[in-house]
Amino acid sequence: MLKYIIKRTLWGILILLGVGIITYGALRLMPTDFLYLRYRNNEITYETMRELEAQLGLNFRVFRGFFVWLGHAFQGNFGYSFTIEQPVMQAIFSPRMGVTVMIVFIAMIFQLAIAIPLGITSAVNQYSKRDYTITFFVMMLFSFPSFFLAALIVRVLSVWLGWFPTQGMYTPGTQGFVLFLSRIHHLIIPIATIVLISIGGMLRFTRMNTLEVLSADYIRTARAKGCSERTVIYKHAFRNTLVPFVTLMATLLPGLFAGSIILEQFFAIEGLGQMIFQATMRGDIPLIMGYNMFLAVLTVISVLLADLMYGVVDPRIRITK
Amino acid sequence: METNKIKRGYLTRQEEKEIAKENKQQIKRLEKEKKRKKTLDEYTSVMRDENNLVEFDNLNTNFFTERGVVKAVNGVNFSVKKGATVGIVGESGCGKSVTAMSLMRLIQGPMGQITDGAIRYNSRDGTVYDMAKMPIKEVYKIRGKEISMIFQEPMTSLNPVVRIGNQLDEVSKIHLKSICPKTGNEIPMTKEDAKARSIDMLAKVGIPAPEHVYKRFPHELSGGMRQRVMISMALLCDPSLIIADEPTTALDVTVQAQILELLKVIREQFNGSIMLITHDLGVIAEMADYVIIMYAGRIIEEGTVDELFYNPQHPYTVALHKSKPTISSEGNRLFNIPGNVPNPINMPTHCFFRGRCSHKCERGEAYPELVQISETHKVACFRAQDEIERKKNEPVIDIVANNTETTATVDGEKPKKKAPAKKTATKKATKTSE
Repeated sequence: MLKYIIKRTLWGILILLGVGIITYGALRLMPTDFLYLRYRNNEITYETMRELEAQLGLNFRVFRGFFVWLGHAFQGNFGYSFTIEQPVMQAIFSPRMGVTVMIVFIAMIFQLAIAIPLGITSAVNQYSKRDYTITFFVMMLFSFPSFFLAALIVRVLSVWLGWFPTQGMYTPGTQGFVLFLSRIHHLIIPIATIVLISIGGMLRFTRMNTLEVLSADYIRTARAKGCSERTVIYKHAFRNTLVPFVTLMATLLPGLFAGSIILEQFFAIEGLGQMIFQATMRGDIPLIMGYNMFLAVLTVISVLLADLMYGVVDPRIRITK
Repeated sequence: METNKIKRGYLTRQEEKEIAKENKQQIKRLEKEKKRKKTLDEYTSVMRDENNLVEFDNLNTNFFTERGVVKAVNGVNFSVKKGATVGIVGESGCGKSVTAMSLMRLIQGPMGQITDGAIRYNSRDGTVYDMAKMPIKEVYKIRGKEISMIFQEPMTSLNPVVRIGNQLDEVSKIHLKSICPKTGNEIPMTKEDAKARSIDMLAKVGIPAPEHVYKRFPHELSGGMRQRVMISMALLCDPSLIIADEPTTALDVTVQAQILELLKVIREQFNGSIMLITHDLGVIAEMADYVIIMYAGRIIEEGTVDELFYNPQHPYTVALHKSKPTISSEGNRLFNIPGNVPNPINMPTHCFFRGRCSHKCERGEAYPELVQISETHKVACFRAQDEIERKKNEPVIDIVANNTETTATVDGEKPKKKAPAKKTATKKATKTSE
């Protein structure tokens, strides 16, 4: 078990290295240039420009630049953000992180709470009107681009009906409990958008797995024992659908973090996503590298945890290597 | 049109649409009927014979497939006596399992539906339930408690992620009661009682170290062990009827022998009835009192073991006996029945065995009715009918014919008029054409 974890961790480091090279290469190939964007309206000499480039580490070619970055990263120094003018780690692990994590977690809980029961319902009543209705609406939401769905919801609920604010995180000037309520009020639409978009995939997955499990012999045995249909589905079938479900869980959290980038920008939520969106627009290489590495580490850990979880949900799987 | 379809071997888009439409209507009607709230009177009934535990009365179970309606069970009539072991024999796909599943109401809807007939079950409290019409919530109370089932695939029939012990305890917890030590009232069985019962039952079916097995997961046991666990699960609530659906098919030969030995022991000790489904005549000879032979969804012959083994009447039964390997016939090619089972969609109107029959019987007007040969022995064959007719005309055999009639009424069959067999057959044909 320990050996397996160590082995997987070493592999994880290799993966991170690959992710780093690709991200850095892509960033350097982007036409966006931080210095150009910043000084385009100033008169600046060629020498000063070169000097500034050297200061920011942009004077190296791609590979050398990457290894310089990597060398610093191994020393725990992920550089200094160009735009926010803070050390990268400080910028990522800031109150903004709290905001994003909160939104992502709430969205994930709602997603699970909605997608799984709906998926099971639609599997149990396969090809019924209910099944078709659920599948149709969910797949429709799933196919929308996030910003479009967000715009649609804002248009209907905020502009036409005026129930929710269009942007922001709270009403300025409120305090205490009112502030708390105001925060909830502001976060409903963003969270609803994330949930509506992400339940599609999970629902389809749940439906498919439940269908497969429901045709298994042990389900027939459970029925023959005299279990009620509820027990059959939620005790005998559900535990078996969890096995492939673990795979999905592995990519769920990083996926939600990535998805929050556009939506936070759209709703002007001061979270990590918004910060990264702006950093990308302005060519802030160290910050983007830092955030991408953070997501990559999160993914690698999630996948490792998922593999270990297999052993927990399915007794037939024992990790031996 | 029907013949065209068969000749062509495929369906046109138009025909497919028609079938789908027809199926949809039928399924909708049957599902609606199933979900309808019923009064107790509607699903209780009276047994034809109080000594019977189960009576199948003209059971029809259909599967509505994309290619047409498959009549998996096509008008089956038989009964299981209290305390008797009934063997159901037939080749794969002849409807043996579907008959049993219909009794348990385990037919997978919406495709599979019981379309007609009654399954009367004489329950322990004296009420006679019609299992075919019973609301599914009521069926839960009988499944696993009064009727339990042993499935043919022990490898996949146990839930892989639940411990053996929990799977066994579940049955007791659902159906059995224990006495609360404080109040003396009946409460659903406690965990401790259920565990004790499960371990006791595991020991009874010959599992060594039952406490140890109790904590194991199914994949940690061998096939034979798992089948023992399944058997112990079936015995937990001391049922009135055990349905064993090919309990030895998926096991290797030595384990088969062990499981059969166990089933025989259970048969001796257990005072309920057993419905044994198998395609192994050897198993039947050892276990059953009464045998039903099924072919293409119908019963073609039934009788006691002795009658069917020493005096088989239907050419199919005879051929089955012939195709059984024996030690003495070593080296010879095994006999096989020529031809194939007719296509389950668009079954012919004539005898289903026509064309494969060793008698080369060419009568095509209708399906032969079951005729009584002795008190217990019945067969669906024109030749047997003719034989009886012939004997009837001879004064010496008159006693037998009279005998047949009286038992027919007792047995719950439609009392046959003295009309010639041919006439009844045509009657049947007109009935089906309606």
